[in-house]
Amino acid sequence: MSTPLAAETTTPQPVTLAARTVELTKTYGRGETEVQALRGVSLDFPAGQFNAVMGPSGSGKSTLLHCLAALDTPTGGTVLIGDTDLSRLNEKQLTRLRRDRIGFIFQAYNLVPTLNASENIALPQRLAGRKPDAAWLDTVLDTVGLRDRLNHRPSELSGGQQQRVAVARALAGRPEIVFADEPTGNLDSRAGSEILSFLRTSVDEHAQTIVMVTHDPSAAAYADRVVFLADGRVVGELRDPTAETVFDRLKSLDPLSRPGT
Amino acid sequence: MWRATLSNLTAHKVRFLATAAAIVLGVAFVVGTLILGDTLNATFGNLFGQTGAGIDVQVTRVQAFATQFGPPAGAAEGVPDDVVARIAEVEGVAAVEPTYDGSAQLVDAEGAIIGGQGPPTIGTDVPTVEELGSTDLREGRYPETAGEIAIDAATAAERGLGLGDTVSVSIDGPVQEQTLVGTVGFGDLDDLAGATVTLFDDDTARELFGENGAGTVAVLAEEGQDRASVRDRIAEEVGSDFEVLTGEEAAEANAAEIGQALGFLTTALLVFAGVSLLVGSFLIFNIFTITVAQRTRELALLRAVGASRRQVLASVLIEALAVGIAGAALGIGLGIATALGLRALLGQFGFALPADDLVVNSRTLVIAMVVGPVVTLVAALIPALRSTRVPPISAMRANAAPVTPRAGALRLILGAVILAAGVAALAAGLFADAGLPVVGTGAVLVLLAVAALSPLVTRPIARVLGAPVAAARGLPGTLARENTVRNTRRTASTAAALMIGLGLVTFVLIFTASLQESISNTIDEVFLADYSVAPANFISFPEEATEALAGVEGVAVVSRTKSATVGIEGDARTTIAIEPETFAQVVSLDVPQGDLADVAGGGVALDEALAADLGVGIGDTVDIAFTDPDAEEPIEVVAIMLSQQSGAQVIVSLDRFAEAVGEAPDSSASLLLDEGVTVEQARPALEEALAPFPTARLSDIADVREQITDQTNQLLGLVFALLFLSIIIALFGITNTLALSVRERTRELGLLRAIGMSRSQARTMVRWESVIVSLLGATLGLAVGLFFGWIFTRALEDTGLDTFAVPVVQLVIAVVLAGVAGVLAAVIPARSAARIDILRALAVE
Repeated sequence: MSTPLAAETTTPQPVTLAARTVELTKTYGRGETEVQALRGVSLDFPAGQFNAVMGPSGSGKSTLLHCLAALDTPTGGTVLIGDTDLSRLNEKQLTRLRRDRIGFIFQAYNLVPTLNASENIALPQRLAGRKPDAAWLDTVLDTVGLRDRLNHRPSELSGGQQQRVAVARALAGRPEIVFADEPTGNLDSRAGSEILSFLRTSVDEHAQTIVMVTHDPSAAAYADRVVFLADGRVVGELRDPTAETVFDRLKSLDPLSRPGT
Repeated sequence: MWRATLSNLTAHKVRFLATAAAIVLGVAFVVGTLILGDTLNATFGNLFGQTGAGIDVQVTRVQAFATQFGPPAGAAEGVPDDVVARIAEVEGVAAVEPTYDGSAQLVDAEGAIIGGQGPPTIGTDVPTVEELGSTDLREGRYPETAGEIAIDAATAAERGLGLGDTVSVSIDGPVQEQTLVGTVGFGDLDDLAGATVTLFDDDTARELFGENGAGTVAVLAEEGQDRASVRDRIAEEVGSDFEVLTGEEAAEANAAEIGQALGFLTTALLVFAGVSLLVGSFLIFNIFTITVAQRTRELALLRAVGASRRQVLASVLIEALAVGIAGAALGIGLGIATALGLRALLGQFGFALPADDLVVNSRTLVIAMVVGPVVTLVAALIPALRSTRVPPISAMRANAAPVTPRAGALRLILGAVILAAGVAALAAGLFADAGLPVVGTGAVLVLLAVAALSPLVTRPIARVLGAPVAAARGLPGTLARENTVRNTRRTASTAAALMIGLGLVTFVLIFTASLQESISNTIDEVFLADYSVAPANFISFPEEATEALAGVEGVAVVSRTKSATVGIEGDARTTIAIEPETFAQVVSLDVPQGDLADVAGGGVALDEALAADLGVGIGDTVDIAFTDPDAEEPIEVVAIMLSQQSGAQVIVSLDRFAEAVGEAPDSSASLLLDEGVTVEQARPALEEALAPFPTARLSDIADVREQITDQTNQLLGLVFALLFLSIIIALFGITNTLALSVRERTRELGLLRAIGMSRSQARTMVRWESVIVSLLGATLGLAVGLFFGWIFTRALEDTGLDTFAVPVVQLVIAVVLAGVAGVLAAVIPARSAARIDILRALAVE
């Protein structure tokens, strides 16, 4: 009775959020050609969690990723990376945020062709004028297993190896959050599952936060949580997904959609 | 195919404009030069037409060995009074007008000369027969007595001189004050091509200039007489010592003479225009190479749907043709402005040219419309042929990025062959006197060979040049360096365009430095005097000036010379007359045989090479014509000397000269001061003594050196100004290559920006790529320029250019400026690299 305050302070801390969106909207074009890509998306991405974002083409999943990753400016609502409200940052600060606090894995062409694998991995740190943390780099390299390929240029690497370099680069700077946009879309299933295993490992062993857009239910199955989007809205969520549960949910969302296409 | 080409053109306006610009500037330079040449020709043609309008026949003395370097010894032989009288008696002659003319130097109130630094300073008499006069009164009246003058209206206006003003004039004595009583024009012109014209009354003019007769005799024919018949009758009367021409013939002859001199100027300017076109063609070659590479997929698609190789070739060449025609058309427009710019530029460097309405001949337009498209087509030929080798299957490949073949053995062999041919042509031209066109061809071949070979050295050179950039600029610097070696052929040919300009700059710097140092060394060896006096108008100064110096306290020795042109076996030879007793004290010449002082006995000293040509030695005699070609005098050779130090091929004593020629003004005087009198102590008194003689310029050895440096530096400035355009075109090429490369690397830039490259880092990356390319061009240019400088100085060693000097500081400045230029060239592409839309760039395939 006499210690309501104390009682409050002892309640368990809410989970820290690596990223968060509040009523996020994004509209392209004007008038007749207006397209509402996001219609009020509010999502939390807790730290240390592997999130997958799924949805049919045009559902807004890529737009969501771009807005979260400070590559695109929302029309309305808020994006927070950690405690930072992206709308309050200018272009320079956004660039610095992407460099220092975010990791990226794109579907393809992730690497700079004139730099070798190790230079590509250290790219964000070197852009910042910093030396990469050698011990951490070792850990990352052990995870993705590229030691014998470090001096090779991208053109001398297979697609799977290139994508492993991209994963290593995304992890090398210990970013608060890694965004992956169809990271396995261009790979065969074996190379793809390797990449997904690395991402899973980084979450399990190093508490990395990952947000991955994919349309592949078996890729989404590596995640802790799958968020489903349709028509620019969040239409569902699945915890501890398997390929089957994801597939079923997708089917229920849109009977016409053919998952995997 | 036409439609595909044209739609391609409109789809790539920027590239089209860049290509056109390369050709526009080169064509504009050519057109500007031709317009300027035609305009000057027309100006002088008009001038002679105006001044000689009323003359039916003109009589002059045949000059035996007159050269462009000056009149024969003494005053020119003219038409004597008795001949003038005989002409007046010839049937059909209504009136004669003998003109007595010479050089009269106007002097301003401060004692400085007016004009006389190029265009002539003419002194002449007042016309007595109205129809035959070349001048027309503008204001006041003609001079009637000694002490009165009239001058040309242009000079009067320029100097703000009005009727009644006192004007100083120097002829062959001290400055005399004259009263201005009139101003004159020439037909409807006020300006005689920049010359100053001073009119004296007839008696004065005759006294001043008429010692040997009239310079020209203008003849007015009677009404109804045919000019040609009158001409023939006069010619018969006066004989072959005189040249008799109708008015038209005389005007044509005059215009032709001027035209020849102007032709030299036009040729020199066309060489620079050619350099601009050469640089422009590199740029075009580059643009087409890059665009063919970028269009690989599109070309493959055309081939896949059935276009033949020939059609693909035609589509590229038609694009080149269209660009060439458009560029040439624009070049013509810009050429008019260029002509005005060139005229102003030459004026800035002391070549005052008359300002008149520009003359655009149809020949100029035809040349422009041929040169523009042909240069473009030739430059685009190799990329066009390359485009035909794109296999149709490339259209199906996901990654249609062009494969760049490595610079191979073929390139090495071809480059080496061209290089060998170029060096051989240079050597033949320079050492075996095969002529300037051969030298030019050799130089162009060497430049092309270096351009062809440069991809082989681009990688190592760019790595070295880029190392400090990578170290200083971190990752953007590293990427800049790596980007330059991404496509070595592209980098090399972009740099090659700048190489040409920098190679020529280097060459000119080395050449002038070697020249200055050689002359300076010669001066040190030869110049023993404390002071020397030279003519400020480059002709002569009065004897009284030298005499005035002799009277100055502290002067121990004064040694004068007079100069002239004499005839030996019909060739004009530069000659000086010296005081044998004192000359050796003030000038130290190399005299391999005999003794220069022996000319005191009436003999002659000959240049070693001339003596060898003539096949004479000490003790032999040579026949020398001083004034009259028919009156050769045999003179004994008493010494053999080296002309390169004195500039004169023939040396005689003043006494011998006076005997043969009579009176003449001095061409130089050298002074030795008394022991203990310093150069600086003597200066005020000497300057005061020379004050009445503005055409005599006093110099000590430091002044002489400075004058030579000033002259060569002025030439240097002009050459740089003319090379400027080609350097601008080369920078344009760098801008264009970078812009195309930035576009090609859009996806990569998007990636770099997404993972944290800042806009300023993107700019830095492009900027330093540009700087490295520029410095690569500068490095190649330095190498080529050093070679050119070396081989040219070696070739000219015999003429006294015996020092090979490398002006390190100036060359370093040139290289630094090339780097700065690289920064400027990168401004636009760097901005577009920094401003790419990341999301759109990432979406690019």
